[in-house]
Amino acid sequence: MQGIYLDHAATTPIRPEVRQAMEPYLADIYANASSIYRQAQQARAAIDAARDTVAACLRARPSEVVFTSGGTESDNAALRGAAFAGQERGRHLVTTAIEHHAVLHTMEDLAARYGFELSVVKVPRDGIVRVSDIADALRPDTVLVSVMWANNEIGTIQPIAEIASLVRNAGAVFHVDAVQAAGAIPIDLSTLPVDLLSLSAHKFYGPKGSGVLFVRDGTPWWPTQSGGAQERERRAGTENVAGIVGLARALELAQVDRDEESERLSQLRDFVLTDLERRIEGTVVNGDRERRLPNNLNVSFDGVHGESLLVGLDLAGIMASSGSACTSGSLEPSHVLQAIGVPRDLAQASLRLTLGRCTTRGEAETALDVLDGLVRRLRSVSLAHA
Amino acid sequence: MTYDDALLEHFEHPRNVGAPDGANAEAEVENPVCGDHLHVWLRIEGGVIQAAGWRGRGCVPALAVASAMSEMVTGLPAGEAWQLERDVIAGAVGGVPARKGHAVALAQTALRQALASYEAH
Repeated sequence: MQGIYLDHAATTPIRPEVRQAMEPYLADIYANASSIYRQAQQARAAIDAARDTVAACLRARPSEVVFTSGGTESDNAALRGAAFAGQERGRHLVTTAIEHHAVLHTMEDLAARYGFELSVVKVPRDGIVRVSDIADALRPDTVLVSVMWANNEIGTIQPIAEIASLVRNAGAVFHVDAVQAAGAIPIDLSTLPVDLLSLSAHKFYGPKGSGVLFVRDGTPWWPTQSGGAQERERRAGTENVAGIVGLARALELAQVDRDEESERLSQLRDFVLTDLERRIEGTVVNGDRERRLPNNLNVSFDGVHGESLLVGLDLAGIMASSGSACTSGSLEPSHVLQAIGVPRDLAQASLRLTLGRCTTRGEAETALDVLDGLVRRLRSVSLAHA
Repeated sequence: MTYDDALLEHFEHPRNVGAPDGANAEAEVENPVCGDHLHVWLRIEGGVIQAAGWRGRGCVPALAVASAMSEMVTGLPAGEAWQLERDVIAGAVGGVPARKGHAVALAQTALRQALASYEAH
């Protein structure tokens, strides 16, 4: 079913070049890369080449690239591995209130079940983590700090370089969840003092089920998945060769026109926002207007409900996302919107539009027309706008 | 989440929005957990609901159920309207997913409180 897809922060379609690169490893070259025969060696060579490509894109060493099943596994492995490896030095962990649940729930689990102490740094209304707040949270026994590069809901971009230097000087391990940032923000790990970094292919037009955990050489970190000796004994399990090849190709392609595409997307996003604010009274932007991903727009319209917006948009062929409780199966609206102090009714009324490579100006104009009519209709039955 | 076509039809084309002329009973209720909000008005004459109206803010089933219920109760004796069970109300929109039961509870509560406000006159 075709439609207008404005949910690229949830996932992205696989680029044709990526699919083409993966196809041989989905059909003809199916051998286990750990086997001895020539077909297996072809698979091994493809993994090695992919590792070199990813390392070059991130300006890291190939030995520092660990292939995983995606962002959630990378986050879990990074945090559990660093916490357990560092527990002799200290048992204090630091993260922020707006992290993805893959980080937040893992940190909470380390505290609840393994006796670590966790400090969750508050984030102000603009959605930007303050470096001074991280500094205040650090203690002599802090072993691990985790801060996301860009937020998945409101798109805000964090001052990662400053936080990385701070954490490095404090002697703790620093993990960055870069799942939303990759593809939009240049990542240079040769100069950035980050120890662990998570990526997920399907967020940058690669396949689902494929991710990367960057582990800087020398970082105190224990593997969390036992079994075979794959990934230099850092991530057991038969390699997803097609997924790995697709991830590398997608990351490589993302570098090619990143600046031009980011500029195009930010202009399109700003056009949508300007038009929304002109047409729909009471449009509230969630998160900083400038320091955010070029494709991310998160807005609230008072008097409406996020799920009603999403279903109304879907009935018109437009796919988007919301931080309202009903859309996530939770009774609570988005923990990110609540953490930055968005009032509950506005959090319930939020809409996330995330544009992508295929989003056209025409699609944006159609979405604006539909959204304008939908908000008016929902407000016409609402009490506040009676 | 899959909604019945009848539910989506009410969502897209809500009936009886706003207070009917001569409304003589009303109630405003809110679900403090999810924030759904519903105001129901009734015009009751001779013990029979002659007209019903509503306004609300909430998820899709909250709005659709309010719309369907306003049609369902019009012409009903007040006593019968009071007796309407949640599954009967939900049936008017082809059923509601289990975890959206709060939408039906909100509508039923608003209806009963509106009927109670009339009784209290």
